[in-house]
Amino acid sequence: MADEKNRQTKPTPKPVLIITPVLLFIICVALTVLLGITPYNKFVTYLNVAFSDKMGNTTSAADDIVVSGDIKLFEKDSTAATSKEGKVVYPAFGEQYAMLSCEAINLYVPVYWGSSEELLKNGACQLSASAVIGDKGNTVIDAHVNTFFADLDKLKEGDIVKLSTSYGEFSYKVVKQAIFEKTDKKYVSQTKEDKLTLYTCVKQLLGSSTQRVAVICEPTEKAFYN
Amino acid sequence: MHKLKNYVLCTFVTVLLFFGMAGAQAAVIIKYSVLEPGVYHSILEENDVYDKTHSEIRKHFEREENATGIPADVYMEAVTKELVKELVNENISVAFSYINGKTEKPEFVASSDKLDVLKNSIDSFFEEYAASINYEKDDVYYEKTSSVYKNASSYILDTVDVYQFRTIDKAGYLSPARTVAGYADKLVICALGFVALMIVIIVVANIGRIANTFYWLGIASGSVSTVVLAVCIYLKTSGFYNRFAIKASHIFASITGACNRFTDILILVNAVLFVSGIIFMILFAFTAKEKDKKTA
Repeated sequence: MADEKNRQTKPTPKPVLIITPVLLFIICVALTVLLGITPYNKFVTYLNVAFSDKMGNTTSAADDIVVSGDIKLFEKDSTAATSKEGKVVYPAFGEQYAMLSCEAINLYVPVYWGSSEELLKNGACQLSASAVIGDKGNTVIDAHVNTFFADLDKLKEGDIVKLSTSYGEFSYKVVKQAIFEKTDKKYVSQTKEDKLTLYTCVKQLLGSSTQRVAVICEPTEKAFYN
Repeated sequence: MHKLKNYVLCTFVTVLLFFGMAGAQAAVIIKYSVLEPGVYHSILEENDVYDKTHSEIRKHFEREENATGIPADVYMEAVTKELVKELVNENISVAFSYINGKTEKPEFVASSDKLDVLKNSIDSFFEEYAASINYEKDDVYYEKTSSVYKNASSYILDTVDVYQFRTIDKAGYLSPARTVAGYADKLVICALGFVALMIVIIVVANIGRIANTFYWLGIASGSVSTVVLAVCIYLKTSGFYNRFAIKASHIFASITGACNRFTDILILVNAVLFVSGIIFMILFAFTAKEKDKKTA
């Protein structure tokens, strides 16, 4: 009887006291993982889609485009030698790489490569799928009708439009105007012939806002800096 | 033999208590935080979501101004920060009234009087414009004003849905959430009852040996809190929530704000549990020592 009582009151060995919590912790974690495999497999696709930004950005990429406050004028150096042939310089997205000017409508606006809301607030934007200024094909530039291209529809046949860049100055002559639906890509797609297309929305409050006005210009002079 | 049987029983019950505690935490947090609309209001305040939503709406109409010619002020004079806050909160209330079983169907439309001021502002603008160009009001005019108001109100109602309840509803996930929410009370009672039962079993199995009771309770509390704390601390320190795919500032802030809030709640609860586990172990060490002295 006394022996029985002694065995019952005998303290638990210290190694057992230490190993037991560790062992139980491992067992609980293992069971959690095993039980969690099925629900995890069910939801992992949704999780991967919902939390797919591996960079962990807290703002959208478009918001991160910082438009430089300094406008480059690309004024032509009258002493610099030029030629009709030369190399174009491909700009980076969001870079201001030209100045667009037209005396006929008192237009003087920076041109950015690529298009976004932020860039359109600061100037005209060139479609990055269009030809770089001075290169072969259709150079397409757009801006908002309520800001920079407010008077675009006032351009007439024969008016001169200039584009100044770091690698040359290029002059164009207006040949025609056109109105098209925004879904019509005819005036903004690539062409074999070299031209400049400027376009903006048709300002019409009490009508359709899906129309665009385009001014098509053909090149008259290319002056690449040597 | 009796000691071994007791040991095996307590080990088994402690494992069950581990899962019971985890389940009880989840049930209580879901019932009193996740399903509580007031929690979301405070999350939105804390993360400036109302201001961000108002700012998004303003930016949208400023962008639209360049294309439509309608000044942003026409809309923004009517869509004030207070109105945006009311609409956001109303959206959340509608969603949770449905989820919590108070309504049969989620009606995600603003009360008709709230956007009347927007309609009046748009109508005034077009009346002035028509008068300035001597335009006689015809079907085109009324169709135009109607479509401008419809597009504006539709955009505003989409934007104030910061938790995307409409999208969730369209995808068919709001209804299952309502089903689960219906069982929230029962889940809490069952989970807490289960935990209480496991504690009672441990106490009964160790009658006369209170030290052992503390020991097993300490293991359960310490284990469950360690696992949950490890996961929560990883989520917080790794910036996992910043990987959220929708970067629109008002939606990003509201969703990540909610994720961070619930993670913080879990951290707090499990920090208390962890400390309880340590206290139980200290009590075990103390009472076991006292008992050893007495038996010696």
